[in-house]
Amino acid sequence: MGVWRVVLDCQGDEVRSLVVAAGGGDGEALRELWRLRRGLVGAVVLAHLPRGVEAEDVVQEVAALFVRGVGSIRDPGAFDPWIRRVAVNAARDAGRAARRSSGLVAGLTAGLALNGSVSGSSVGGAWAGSAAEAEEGRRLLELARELPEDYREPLLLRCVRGLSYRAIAHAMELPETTVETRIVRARRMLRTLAIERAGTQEVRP
Amino acid sequence: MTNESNDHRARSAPGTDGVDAERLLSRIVDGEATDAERAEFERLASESPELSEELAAAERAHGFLAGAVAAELDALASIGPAGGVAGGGIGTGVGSGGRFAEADEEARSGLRRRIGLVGAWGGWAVAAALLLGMFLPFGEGAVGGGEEAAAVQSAGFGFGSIDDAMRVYMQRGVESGRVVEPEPRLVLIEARPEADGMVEVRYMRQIIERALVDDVYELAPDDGGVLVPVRLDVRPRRSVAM
Repeated sequence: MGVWRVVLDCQGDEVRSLVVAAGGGDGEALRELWRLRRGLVGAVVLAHLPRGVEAEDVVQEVAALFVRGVGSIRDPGAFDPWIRRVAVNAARDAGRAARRSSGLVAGLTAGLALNGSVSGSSVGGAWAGSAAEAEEGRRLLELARELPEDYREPLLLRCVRGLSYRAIAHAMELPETTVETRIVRARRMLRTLAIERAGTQEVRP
Repeated sequence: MTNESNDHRARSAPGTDGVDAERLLSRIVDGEATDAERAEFERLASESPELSEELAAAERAHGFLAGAVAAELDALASIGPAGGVAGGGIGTGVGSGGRFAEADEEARSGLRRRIGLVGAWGGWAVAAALLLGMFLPFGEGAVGGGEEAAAVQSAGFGFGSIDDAMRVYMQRGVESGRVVEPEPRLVLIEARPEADGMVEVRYMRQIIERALVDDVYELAPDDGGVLVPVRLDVRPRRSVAM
């Protein structure tokens, strides 16, 4: 399985330095900063991805905005909330654009609807568990996308390796206790949904 | 007080209700529980053995979900900036006068990277462009000719086909200086097999053009993450002392 290490708690100083260097035109710093935060970006995009929109397209847009905007960040310590807002806005904009141009976009993302997957992208190669476990994970992810946005995002962010409550709270600009509460509630809602959909089959998210 | 705050307050009295046990369980699943909280959970579990089963089920479900999220993220891993393009003005580092050609190329390259980001991506887009470029060379692909040619001719343009029209556009564009690169890049968007064994490809044709303008703006996120027009810092060419 690929590794998405986003250990924000212990990378604070490194990220701040990278933000400053990337903003000054250092290409290596730019790439390293993206590497460290692409997990955060990807999870935020997944959490806010509108139906009928490819996650790849939104992440590409976020990367482009990241390149254009990183030089304008005044407080390097506020990079995570900034890149999260950029990702949320990009996902919402993509949803609006998709609704406006329904014909072409619907055609290009036909695989998404047919596959019934979250982003239409391949998920087989990276999953190290059994096919049944992978299927169960995909089913839970589909259900998680039905949760209210405020609960869905922290739950999916928590699934990114290394993202602690504290790091999620920093990125979402919320108190840590609120993040924790939302994750608890999200799991409760997800469990209820899973039981409803599975009938008598007991699943405990 | 919000419901979220109420939930949090309940944690201050471990073992008094289901909310507290649920929160403890969640913290253990997430690796956030302290030793004291783990001990408290074990105490609760000794009184209610089903809690241990719930913890195991919750950890398993979290693992499934995290695996699915990781798989989705892995599929996105190739996307990102490939070059150093942030900050600094276009043309920064260009030497003294007399190096117009070099400055021109650097400025063109910078504009390409900063505005269009063509070629600035690692991953599927570039790979697809190269692949399509190999199998669908400009003017020789399956696109054009036939009905398209007839349609173009009937429209009064006098070209034999869309490819002919494109070829004329490219030729005149290069002659006038408007078209910078005579070979358009083709980026694969979708490939779909047809019943007759052919493959329908949808692709984007990218043509680099050049224009003279007073100012250049790009949309970039401000501190609030909102897109706003930002004037590009384009350094003017240095004059050459005669």
